[in-house]
Amino acid sequence: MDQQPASKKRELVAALAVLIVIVAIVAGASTSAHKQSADMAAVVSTPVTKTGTDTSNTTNTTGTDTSGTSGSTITATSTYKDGNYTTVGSYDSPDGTELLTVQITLQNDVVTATAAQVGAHDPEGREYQNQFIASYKQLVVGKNIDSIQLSRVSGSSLTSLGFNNALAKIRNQAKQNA
Amino acid sequence: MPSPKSETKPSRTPKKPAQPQAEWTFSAIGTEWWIGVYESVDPAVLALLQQKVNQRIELFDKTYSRFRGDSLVTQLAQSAGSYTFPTDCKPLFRFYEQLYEITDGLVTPLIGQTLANAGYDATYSLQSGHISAPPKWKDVLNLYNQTLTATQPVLLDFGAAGKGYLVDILSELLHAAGVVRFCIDASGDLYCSQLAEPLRIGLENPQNVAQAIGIVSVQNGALCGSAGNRGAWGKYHHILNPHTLEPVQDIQAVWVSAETTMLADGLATALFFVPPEQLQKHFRFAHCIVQADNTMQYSADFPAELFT
Repeated sequence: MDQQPASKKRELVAALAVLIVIVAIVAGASTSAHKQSADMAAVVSTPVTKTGTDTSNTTNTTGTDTSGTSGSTITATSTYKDGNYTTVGSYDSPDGTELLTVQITLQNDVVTATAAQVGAHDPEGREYQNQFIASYKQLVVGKNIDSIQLSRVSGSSLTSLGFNNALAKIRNQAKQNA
Repeated sequence: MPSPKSETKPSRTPKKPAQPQAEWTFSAIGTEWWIGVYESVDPAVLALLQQKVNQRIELFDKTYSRFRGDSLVTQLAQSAGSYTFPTDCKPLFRFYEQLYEITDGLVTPLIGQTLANAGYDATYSLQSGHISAPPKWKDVLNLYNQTLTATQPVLLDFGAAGKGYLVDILSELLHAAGVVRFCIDASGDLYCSQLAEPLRIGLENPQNVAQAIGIVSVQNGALCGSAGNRGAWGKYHHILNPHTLEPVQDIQAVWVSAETTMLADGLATALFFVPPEQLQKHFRFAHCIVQADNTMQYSADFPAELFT
């Protein structure tokens, strides 16, 4: 029964978030262009994007716009200023206007981290946003193990003693041969 | 269980993880083990338990290890015939049969010789020779109750789920001795039993072992990981595709949480070969997969805070 609007809504959320990320990049880039002197990773908060039901139409083209603007300014250094960019997107749902916050971290023109936070108030909206956040492509970010309180660590299941010894032997041989 | 991605950044400083009241470490089946007991247990009971654990591991190793000359598996690799395994083989063999069917033979205990020829052999030569595809299960193996009949010598490898299964066996030993609050950690494949508060388990960054990419909370259940980074030599690592004879490259690491360690361990390997949806039809588990492009795919019920 509510399958149809649900999937539509999800599509909308997905399309919207893609747009938001791109908008964030473009906005971040243009902002940083004006603040070339400012160093350090600036947290740029872009204005809330006013988007409605027409967002899905604009998503495809925005991507090419980005490369268009960057193309003219490319030098040996990165086009965009390194740093964290945050934006809040809004969209109209059957239950009213809902918000979704998206952050990206840029390093040498590469998105090294992205995150999204649920902003919807309506329980149904929150659920959809949670679903979206759980499934959209997120990049792995490492934190130093010393800096977080851990009980145990789980990694490769093959931390075999014999194996590690063999590797150590091979490394030593390689050193001697070098 | 916390949701996979917290809505707000945790601002509170994490408190020190709970310390076990007794703990011991040992080396077994080629890896480091740690057992932490989170309740007060009579030292005499504990000493007896340690003894039983050692004996049980020895029995397991003498049966399933392809790395020791006197094991049942080594005998099976030397001559064809019928071999009677201990009773504990039933759940393990049944699980391998299931995985074999579901993955169309991609997860197979018959990978032993292929791995050995690739260099992951009993002497850890790490020198790869000519490798060939493993035989088909039905062509060489027949299982009846505890009796395994091989029509030709075959080198079996229980690396996919064997360690997890041993964790489960040891957990039963602890329960039988009246110890219920504990954690058994076999170098990252671990089981927590009825802990008062969850342990914080760091997920090792496959690209940098000094880092974690998330923290999983485990209170009662298993968490197993599998990655290509540590067990790597030359172009190989320990997860070989038996069809292509190439190491699996499109996935860097997998973690699975499940009710039993055998299940979590086996599925962590299976996920290198088949999509989660295919396994979800048959098993209950939560997972996190780190793809080759450094993106993560995880189920909504994976009990972790992931750093993204």
